[in-house]
Amino acid sequence: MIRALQTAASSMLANQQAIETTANNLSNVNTTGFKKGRAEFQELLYAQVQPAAEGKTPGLVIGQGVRLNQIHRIQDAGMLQPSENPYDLAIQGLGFFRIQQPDGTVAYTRDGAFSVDAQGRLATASGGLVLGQSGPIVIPADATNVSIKPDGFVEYQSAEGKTLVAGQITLALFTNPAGLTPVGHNLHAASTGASRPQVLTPGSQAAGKIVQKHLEASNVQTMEEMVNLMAAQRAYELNAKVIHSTDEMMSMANNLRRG
Amino acid sequence: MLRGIYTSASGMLVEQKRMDVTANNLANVNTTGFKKETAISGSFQELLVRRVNDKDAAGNPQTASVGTLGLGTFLVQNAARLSAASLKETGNPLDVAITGDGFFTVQTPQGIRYTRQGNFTQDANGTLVTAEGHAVLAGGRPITVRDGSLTISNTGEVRNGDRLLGRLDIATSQALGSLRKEGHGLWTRAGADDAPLLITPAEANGQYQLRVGFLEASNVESVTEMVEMITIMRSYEANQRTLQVQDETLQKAANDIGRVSG
Repeated sequence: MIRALQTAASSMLANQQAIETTANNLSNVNTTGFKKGRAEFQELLYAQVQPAAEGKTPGLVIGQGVRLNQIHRIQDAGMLQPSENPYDLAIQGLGFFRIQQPDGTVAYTRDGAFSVDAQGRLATASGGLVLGQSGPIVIPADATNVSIKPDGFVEYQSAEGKTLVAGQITLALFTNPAGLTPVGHNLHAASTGASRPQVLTPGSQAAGKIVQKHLEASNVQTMEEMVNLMAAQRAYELNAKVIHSTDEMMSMANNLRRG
Repeated sequence: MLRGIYTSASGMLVEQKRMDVTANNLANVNTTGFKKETAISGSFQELLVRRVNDKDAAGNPQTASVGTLGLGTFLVQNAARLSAASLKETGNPLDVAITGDGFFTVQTPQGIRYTRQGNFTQDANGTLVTAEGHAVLAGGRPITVRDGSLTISNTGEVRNGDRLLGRLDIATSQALGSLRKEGHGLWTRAGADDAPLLITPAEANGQYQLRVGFLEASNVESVTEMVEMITIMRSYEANQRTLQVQDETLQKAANDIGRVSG
């Protein structure tokens, strides 16, 4: 009896977490480079309530409920949306931009909405520096016609009209990008689950090419999220009913002895 | 009389356990590849009731049987229903669903286990693993691809680019024999160490099919389980009432019979 109560409670908790995942996906439906999370459920262990009969039946083995196993980051590519900003970059492939954060650590992102900071360095909105082959990429203030090639070379025209190279953007490739740790601001930290980053030039291996004047949209699909939301909400309700019924049964047992 | 009380109580205990099973089914209504369970109850051996202290016209003792008396019920076992579940399209290249009778083979620290959950990923080493982190076996070995170009086809072939690395090991429940759920989506079988008969999709002859980019939903139907839950509750209630009525009768016997009215 108590087992049924706890089983249903475990499911309510897991479904609540699934709803939270969906809420986070939906709120990031317009976040550049966002990768949706998929709530994955897993059964809990089964308890042998009644031993197996000799070589015949498996006996009575009752499951104990469910838990949210992981929130799997789905790495499907988002749509590439054109923009007018020459510093808007998208990656057509599996790589990540390498961002040097103010504290010196390196973070990784798919969000290529960059700009140039006061010192002419290519930077993210939160002030992290985009790393190239030889550190941050510096574009002089008088540069015009900045062009970022698919292989990551950043070219510009100097005041004298000469075409110069500011650097080559590099990308990081992970064996299991779903294992990266999100740290907010669209940034991810490397983790043991994701493998060590393999630093590559764009276009090599599966890292992918850089597309200038484009941004990668979020890969969240609202229809899919709404369906997930409904499924999780109904499952939550069903399990609340189980708790209610179990409670009623316990009350009947309590009332066996009257007077 | 007292025997009847125990019979009613056994009925209540059975319904309570059936509620546990139903609660677990409903808890897993959104679990990938979950197979619902049904509890199977049996009755205690029936007792042959005979006449005692009964004599025929000539005064000889008679022991003719008057029929059988049930002594209640208990749950024998539960069985997983392998009925088909709906497929959910995910488009994810490492999601694989099995339709029909088939199980993926995975390597766990405890040995070989079987699963219906095809939401695979690659771990940090590039090994194809289940959501629990157990290596998925193809040709008896784990599959490892480091550069992110692992593909699985509907025929179970695992490739790195164009290079064939192996075929997913898939066993049917027929070949596995008696299967038992362990939890965490894993199934084990009696004689777990024996190598099962693996059947490739090409040989499966329609016993099962693989669908890549799909996940198998849970086969729990919430309506059926709700009806089951109502049945359990009412049947529990009926047993409870029967028990109470017997209690009242006993009360009469204990308190009222033989009372000197006055």
